[in-house]
This record gives sequence, C-alpha cells and structure tokens, in this order.
Amino acid sequence: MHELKLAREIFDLVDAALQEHAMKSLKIVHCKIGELQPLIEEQLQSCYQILIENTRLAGSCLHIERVPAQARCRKCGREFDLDELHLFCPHCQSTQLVILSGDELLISDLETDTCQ
Amino acid sequence: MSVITIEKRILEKNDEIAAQNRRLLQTNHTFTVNLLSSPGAGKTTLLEKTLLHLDPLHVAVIEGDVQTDRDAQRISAIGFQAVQIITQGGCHLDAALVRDALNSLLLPECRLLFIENVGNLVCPAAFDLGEDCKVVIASTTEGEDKPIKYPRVFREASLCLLNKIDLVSVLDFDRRAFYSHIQSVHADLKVIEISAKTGEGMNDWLSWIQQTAMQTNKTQPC
Repeated sequence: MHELKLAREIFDLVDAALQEHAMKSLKIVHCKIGELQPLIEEQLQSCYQILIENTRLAGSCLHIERVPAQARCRKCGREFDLDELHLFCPHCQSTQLVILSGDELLISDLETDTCQ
Repeated sequence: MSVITIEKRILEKNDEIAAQNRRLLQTNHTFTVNLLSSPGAGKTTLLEKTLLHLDPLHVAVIEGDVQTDRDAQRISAIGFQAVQIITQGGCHLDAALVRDALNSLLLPECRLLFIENVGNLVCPAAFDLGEDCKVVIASTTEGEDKPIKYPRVFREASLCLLNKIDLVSVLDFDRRAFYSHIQSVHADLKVIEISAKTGEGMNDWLSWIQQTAMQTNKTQPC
C-alpha cells in the first residue's frame, strides 16, 4: 500500500506549488505514471481524496496518464514496446536494453480555474 | 482555466534523502545491501547465518518490520550492531527511515551494512534507500513463479538468493521453470542457490559480497 505514501508526497508537492504560483484554486493534478510502476490507481485516488479533505486542495482530483513502457536494444538499436515479463529484444533476443519510458512517477501539470 | 507545468518527481524528497544516505555511506566506505523478500522467505535466518562468518566490529544491520523488534534482538544476540525500524503498518522502508536509523549506528568502523527491508515484494522496490545494491531472496517453499509475479524487484536486483534449497527434493519446486522465469524478467541476474540450514551456497554468497564490495571501491571485511 505505498499508494498512501505517494499520495502524501503528491499532496506536499502540490501544496508547495500552489503557494509558489499563488494559485487560488485547483481542479486537476495531472500525473504521469509509467506502466512499469506497480500501483493501483483507484487506491492512489482514494488516498489523495482523504488527504485533501479540509485543505486548500479540497475539490481537486488526480488525472493519471499511464505512460507505456518502451525500450531500445543496445545490440540492434531498434525501439519497441516493452513487456515487463519478457525483458529482451523481440527482434534479436538481446537482453541488453535501455528502458526509455515506463518508470515515470511525475506530477506534470496543475490545472486551475484562475490564477492570481 | 489555466495550466501550470511543474514537472516534479513524486518521490523527489525520498530520492534526495537517499542520495544523502548514499554519500554518507560512500564517504564511510560502507558497502550497503538492501535485502528484499516476501514474508517467510528466510531473510533473518539467512542473515544470522551469514553474520556468523563476518566480523562484528565491521558489520551492522538495519531491520525493518511492521511491528516488534524481534529481528534486531536476534541480530544483537549474536553480537552485531542492529537498529530496528518499526514502520507501524508501513509496508516498506523509505530513505528518511533509513537516515534516522543511520544516525543511531556507530558508522565509522562499519564496512558492511545489511538493510533487511519489510517482507514485501511490491512496495519496497519503489523506494531508493541509498544502498549500493538490492538482493532479492526467493525460497523454494514459495514456488517457482515469484519472478513473473513480482518482476520489478527481480529486474532491479543485482543478485537473487534462492533460499531453502535443502527442501527442493521434498517440494514440487520446478527449478527449470524458476530459471526460465528469471531469464524472462532479468536474464543477466545471477542466482545463488543457498540454504541457511545446511550452509549450502554460503561461500558463494560471501564471495559475491566481497567481490561486489570491491567493485564498488569499498573494502569488505569477510
């Protein structure tokens, strides 16, 4: 259940950003989470909703975009969608891969009604 | 409506503290191993048996558990420095918990530190603690499919210890399937078959620690 820890970190980062950018209201927190990250979106949403009650983040929600996992083969150079259960190049079978995406745990944007 | 781009890593704070831990441990030449497994794989027993081959003056242990300090007591009972982190429900260790534990350890003489994470193959893999490497412990009693059920921890590990190998003949553990699953999720992952009970594989495990510590430019007092 590390979703609670992640929700707390999101809360702290967003709260600081609201202050920094003098934002009066918050609607949506856009997150990018890689497909290789083992987490349950519904649990993250639930934890976030509990944490923001009676705070200035109340009324906002998370919008989670799952980022597909992609890799490049170090041997043949080709790029392909990565299947976590088959970590090798589908073209040349090499296991020497560079993971290009899929590990993200990011807050990308904050969406609000107005901005001071 | 307006949109503000912030591009923040959600675990930014954890990663900063992990980097501080790593700098502290590097400065001190302390090779640090993060041990991960499901509950009951035999981490603590394997650690106890490993410590019997090591020097109490130069080796320490941080224990992570949801409740009780039983594991730290077991380690202290055989003469090694041990600090217990009780997460009180938390399913993983994070870098801040380890930083606090490091403050309780006498680090100057410590050349090897084991961090025994909370028994869980999912959440602990997401948190950098500042360690040099992760070692995942699987056991024959858990079945052969752990690598494909929990691929991330096996992908991130530098070594897999297959524990309770003494029981392999009385279990329906399919060795070939286990290695096939390892091949799928982390083909280059080294596996050492080991038994905390009989001592099989212990020398390979100790050699691996020594060689890996040397490769990370840290001396190791085996």
